[in-house]
Amino acid sequence: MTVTPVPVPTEAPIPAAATIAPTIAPITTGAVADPVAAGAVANLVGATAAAAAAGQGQEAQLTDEQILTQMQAIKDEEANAHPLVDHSVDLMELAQEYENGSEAFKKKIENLSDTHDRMRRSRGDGNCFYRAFAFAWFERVMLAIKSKPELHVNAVRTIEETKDLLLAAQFELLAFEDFYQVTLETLQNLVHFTSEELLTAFQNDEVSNSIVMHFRLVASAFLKTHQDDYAPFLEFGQTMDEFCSMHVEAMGRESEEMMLIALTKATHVSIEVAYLSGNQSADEVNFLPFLPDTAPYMPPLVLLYRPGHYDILYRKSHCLEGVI
Amino acid sequence: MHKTMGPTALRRLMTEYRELTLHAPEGITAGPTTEENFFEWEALIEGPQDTPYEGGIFPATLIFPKDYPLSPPVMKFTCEMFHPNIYQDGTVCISILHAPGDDPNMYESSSERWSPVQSVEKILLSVLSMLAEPNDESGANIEACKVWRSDRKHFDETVRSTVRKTLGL
Repeated sequence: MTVTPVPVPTEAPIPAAATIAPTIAPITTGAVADPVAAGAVANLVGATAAAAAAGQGQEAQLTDEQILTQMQAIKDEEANAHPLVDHSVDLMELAQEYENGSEAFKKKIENLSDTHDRMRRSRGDGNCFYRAFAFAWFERVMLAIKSKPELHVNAVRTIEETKDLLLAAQFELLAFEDFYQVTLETLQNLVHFTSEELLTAFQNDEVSNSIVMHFRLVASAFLKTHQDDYAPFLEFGQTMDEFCSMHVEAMGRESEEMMLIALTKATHVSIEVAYLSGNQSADEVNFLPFLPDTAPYMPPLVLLYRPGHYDILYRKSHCLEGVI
Repeated sequence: MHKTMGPTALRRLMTEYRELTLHAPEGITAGPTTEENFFEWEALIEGPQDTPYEGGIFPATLIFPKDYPLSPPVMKFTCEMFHPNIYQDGTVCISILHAPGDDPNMYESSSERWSPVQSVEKILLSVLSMLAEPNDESGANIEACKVWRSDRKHFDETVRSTVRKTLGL
């Protein structure tokens, strides 16, 4: 098996463009092209500056731990303003966000609305990709439970198989069994879930974060068991174990393309990512496909990427049954 | 109290406690302070051999957040400890107790970090190796760092005297 490194079509670097990671120094306004993350980052930058000023004024009264705690509190407040996964909304709501924004964004959203009609926001807490992916997949399965029950059968089998993958990657059962169980049970419950119940499950911290954690471990396990293919893409002589421990296995760590590739291949679910950036040179939104090694058994999940953040997009052709 | 805490956290802590009881690593004892509250543990750590901590038995507490194991616990020695990576109030400051991105002491990028694949056992084993091999690159007790770097004999003496105090000698 070989890996095709996926080119990044935007001017913004994908991994850490607008991360809300609580590292103090590297947050600069220049990297933020996205109003969703921009608010949070602006708050963080403000808080950092305030904390730093307080530190200087009062002979460093605040310890590093306290600064981190404060930044965490601001992050939590920001995050709590938005549910983990929101109701779906008309794509025009996205357009309204950019009413006073750049022409490039407006034009692209207009083009996007030719083929897509709705979107669903995932909270910008660093877990947005995993959460959006899991929700979009589970929702797809749930809506097809009568018309295409094989999607459910496939999904359950896939999740059951992830247990072997995790064990093969040397994860201890103790470390993953709770997350695995919650994920499997939620998937099994789709048989009698309504859209509202699925949303409620994904808005519940316990359930939602367990599912995110399980998908994180699956991505990590896939990368660790396919080191020969992926380790060459790591920078600074990092080992795959170090990379996974720093960037994949911990909650809140932003995902980059390697994680998308890993999760796609590990779950046999294809994704298309619509890259919405302020790049002036094109009116069209770029779509990047992430494909499993086997032939996909359902149309790709569609995610909307804006620098530093993933949401869910709904393509017009497969309309939602009963808009949530 | 634990009824309001996360069920995932409680389940995990009970599993870890059972595992630690069945297969306790050498030099470590740990468990909930009371059966009513699984989110507060006590640990006893034996000072590693061939270190100035040898012979000592050091009590510590572990306080778990309600979203454990997504977030790490806080570990604090409840006896006097003289060590570069332990704050004066007893709080342990090593990389495994911090999630990546949470970087109060600018740990090396290769150092072990908190994530749900870690466990109480792994934390305590890291603390054992921390006692044997202080990391003066990310110091919590500056005085201990200085002495450890510049005057190892004096460092060992100071540690031994705290060990004697701990044992009530």
